[in-house]
Amino acid sequence: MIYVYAITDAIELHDEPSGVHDGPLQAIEHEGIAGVFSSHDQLEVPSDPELLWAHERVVDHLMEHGAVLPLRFGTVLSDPEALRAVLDKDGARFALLLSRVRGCVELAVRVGLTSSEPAVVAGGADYMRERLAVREQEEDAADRVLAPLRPLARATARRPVQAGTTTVSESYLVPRATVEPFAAEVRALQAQNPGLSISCTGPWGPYSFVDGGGR
Amino acid sequence: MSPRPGRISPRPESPHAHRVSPPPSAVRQKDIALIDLLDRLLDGGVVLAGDITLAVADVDLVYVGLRALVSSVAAAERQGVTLPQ
Amino acid sequence: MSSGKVLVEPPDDSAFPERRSLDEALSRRINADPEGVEKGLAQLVLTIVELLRQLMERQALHRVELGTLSEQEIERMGETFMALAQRMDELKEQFGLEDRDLNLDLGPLGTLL
Repeated sequence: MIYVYAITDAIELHDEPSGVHDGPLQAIEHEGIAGVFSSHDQLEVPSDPELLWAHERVVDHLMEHGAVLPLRFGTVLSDPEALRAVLDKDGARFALLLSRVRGCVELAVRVGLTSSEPAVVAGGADYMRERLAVREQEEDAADRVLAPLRPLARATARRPVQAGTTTVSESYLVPRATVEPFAAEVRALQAQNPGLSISCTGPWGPYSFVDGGGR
Repeated sequence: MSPRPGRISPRPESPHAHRVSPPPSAVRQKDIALIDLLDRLLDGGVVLAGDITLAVADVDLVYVGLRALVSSVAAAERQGVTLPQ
Repeated sequence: MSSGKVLVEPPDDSAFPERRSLDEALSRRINADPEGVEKGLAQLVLTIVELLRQLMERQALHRVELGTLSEQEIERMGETFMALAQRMDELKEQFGLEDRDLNLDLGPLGTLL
């Protein structure tokens, strides 16, 4: 069986790292697009940090050599032929998606409201107004705070977070050369908004932009 | 956490009632990076058609579906849609 | 290697609610339920009820925002949600469940609520 990491237009592998369970990387190519995988006799892919980082390490490496569509973690196929069949069937769609992410990486930004004290309310309407004020504060904070980042990105995508938490998570597809200026802008936003908690991680593979380029 | 007469609080949804000093920075950074990584690897990326895959990450898909429901409701609201009552 | 990914570190964990359950989530505990099926079922049902309550409250707040409700309707809705929250507290107490018991573990995705 094979573990599949990514679809890429970087056909040739060189100096590549090993993949999950130290499996050596291989590629199968079809009409200019390659699927990158490793072969295993037996394979278990629990959500273990070591395996997760191994997957990302492969994606990061491939991104240095071409456009990459990373696969979701844990994709196991029966053999390389199955992967070739995928490339054959969806090649045109992959080519289009690759062109959308070429030269770019994904940066992850999160905004959290720091502590808010529960208010004293009396009665139903008061309760609703209080809940509404908190919610508006969150939405407003997120949109207002993140607005300066959008022009820096080719695409953006809001990511789901746990229900009922006061956190916003947004992904940005940015050209690799602008990662540091983007991070500097996030730092500036944090400095301007001491009541919020802002983070930026990356660069990641463009996981949030593989289904048509973000929302 | 039940409301008391005369002093009734809305249920706080944030898990953090007060600031707790974080543990050393290296551990935090590792956790933060891992969380953003998990978010992408398990919930993003290209998904190949189910009938050819032998395995996917071992997460219960029922609950992934529930979370997607919540975020799609939130997204609809942002566009001004209200669900029928 | 992992720390190289943090470009801007946040001042606290309010942007990372998953962090408090991260260790548990990754250690893949087997959920043995010594007190039988009933409590496990109550846990599942109450979690879904709580999720729905939050969703309904969001929807109601949206209507309040749009201004399509009368003052009376807002008052009644608020009372209903407060009563629902109170009833949830009672049910949790009845089944010996804490808030954290209702926070269904999605494994590495963190918790549901």
